[in-house]
Amino acid sequence: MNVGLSWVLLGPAVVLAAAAGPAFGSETQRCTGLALSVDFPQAVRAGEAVRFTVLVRNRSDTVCTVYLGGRPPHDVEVRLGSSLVWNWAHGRPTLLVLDVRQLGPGEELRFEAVWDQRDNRGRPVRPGRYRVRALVRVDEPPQVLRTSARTLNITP
Amino acid sequence: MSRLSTKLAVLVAVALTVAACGASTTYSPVGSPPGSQPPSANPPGSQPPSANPPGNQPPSANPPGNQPPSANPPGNQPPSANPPGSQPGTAYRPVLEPDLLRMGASVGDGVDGRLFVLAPDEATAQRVRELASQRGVPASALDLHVGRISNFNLRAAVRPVVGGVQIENQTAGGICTLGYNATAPVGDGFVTNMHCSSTQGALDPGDNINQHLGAANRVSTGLETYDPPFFAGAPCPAGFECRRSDASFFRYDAGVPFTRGSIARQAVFGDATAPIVGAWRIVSKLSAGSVPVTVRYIKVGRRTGTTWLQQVRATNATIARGDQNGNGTPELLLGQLVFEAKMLPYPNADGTAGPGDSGSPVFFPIGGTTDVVLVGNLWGGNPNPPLPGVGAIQFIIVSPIWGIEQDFGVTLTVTP
Repeated sequence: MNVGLSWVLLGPAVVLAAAAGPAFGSETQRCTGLALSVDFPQAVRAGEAVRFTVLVRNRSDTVCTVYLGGRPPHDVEVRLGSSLVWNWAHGRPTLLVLDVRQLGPGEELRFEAVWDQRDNRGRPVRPGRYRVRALVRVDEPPQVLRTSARTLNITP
Repeated sequence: MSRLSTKLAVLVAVALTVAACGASTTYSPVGSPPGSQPPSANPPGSQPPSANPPGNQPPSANPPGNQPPSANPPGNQPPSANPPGSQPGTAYRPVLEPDLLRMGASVGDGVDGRLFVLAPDEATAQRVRELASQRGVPASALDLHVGRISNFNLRAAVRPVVGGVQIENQTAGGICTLGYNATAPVGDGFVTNMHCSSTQGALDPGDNINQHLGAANRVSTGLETYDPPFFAGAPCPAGFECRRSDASFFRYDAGVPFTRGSIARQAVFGDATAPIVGAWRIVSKLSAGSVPVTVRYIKVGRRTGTTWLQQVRATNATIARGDQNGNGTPELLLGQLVFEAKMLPYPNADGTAGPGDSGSPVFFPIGGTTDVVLVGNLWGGNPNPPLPGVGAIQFIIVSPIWGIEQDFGVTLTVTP
């Protein structure tokens, strides 16, 4: 079973593309009505790989341009209490390209992350209730979209 | 958007004439008809090194906001050639700046230690000289230019094309930085990162590259020429595929003016939108096994502008970067250079490097001059720690020029 979606919205302002604006020679609005969510199982057994799907959706009714802050632009964090246990981007170099994507109304970008239930030091984690949050970096201007934290239950 | 920016650029586009210490540098506007600005006509690199005499390299060459002073160990500072008792030109800024601004001039901490002043016309420049004289500021402390601020920054369409400026892969939808111009056996072109092309480790004949944005600024049409495949087998460890660089070579379309050996030199550090006032001139390539640790390295990129790198942390590094090209086999980059980079947590960034800086040329100046030794191309880093304090030491990764040439199987000519 998958848990519901968490939403974090970008600011309300609509910014027209300027000198460093979108590619493709067209006047396209920057995305401002983006919604970020992360989808994952509500409960898994200890040792079982956990797959996270991070979605960035254009909630507006117009085509817009999104600038992704590096490749990959996303991360998924798993915490126990307030302590960071694991994050997908840990130890991964980010390619410093500014990827430009156009999204139609309702269209989504999808990013994947898989957790082998080991912490950032490579040690297996114990069963328990973990908190999961996803983030995606966008740019022009730079901003981090974050979901709210949701629970992942690891059972023995 | 491109039409908009072109229109804006045309408005400002009286060619920016910069008269610096007797040298004249002209940047042509966006949309110059091909051939109107021959590559040899006062290219940015024409500014003589003597415009930045040794001795003007102050301790303050590391400007506020770029890197904290504590991040620069004493042993890693370039030797200061300031004569005893002399002051860097930037020290005179408080004395002059209020009046200069009232005159309509622009002021900045010059990267060579002098006080950068851009006067809108010669009459104002003369008033600047007189004011400086009245206040006891030596003429040698000023880096005085005449010209009007324009869109000629790293994100504009710069002609002739030089290193460090923005490029857009119109086909793949990505924005990167053009590293440097080069001549290969196949012709003239430029080096950037292979991940700025559509497919890493393969030629993409459909890739169209624009300098700045939009097809009106096209510089390469289907001419990716070197982007060799990843290889398996020694020295690549089993289970991986390897390259020695994240680099790709695109040939220029016929008629695109460019200046080999020139990298955009901005008036100030840490601002991608600061005007280009000249060029860093590549005079040599760094050799494998001779990576100096007592010099300060610079990168120029469209996202964060001109920034100092911190010290070299590792050489000959093997970088695991997952399966970036999505073929199921994890990739390694062999023989990379790792630099410490003090970056603010994203998105506050504007640190040493950020998204869009891929491909940036990395080099170091010789003494206090604008002559530089080319090191390679920046391609990645870990600029985005998930939590403050996590990953407090951050790194950026550079593919060295010798690894690039080894991958391409050719020697590149990168000097003027």
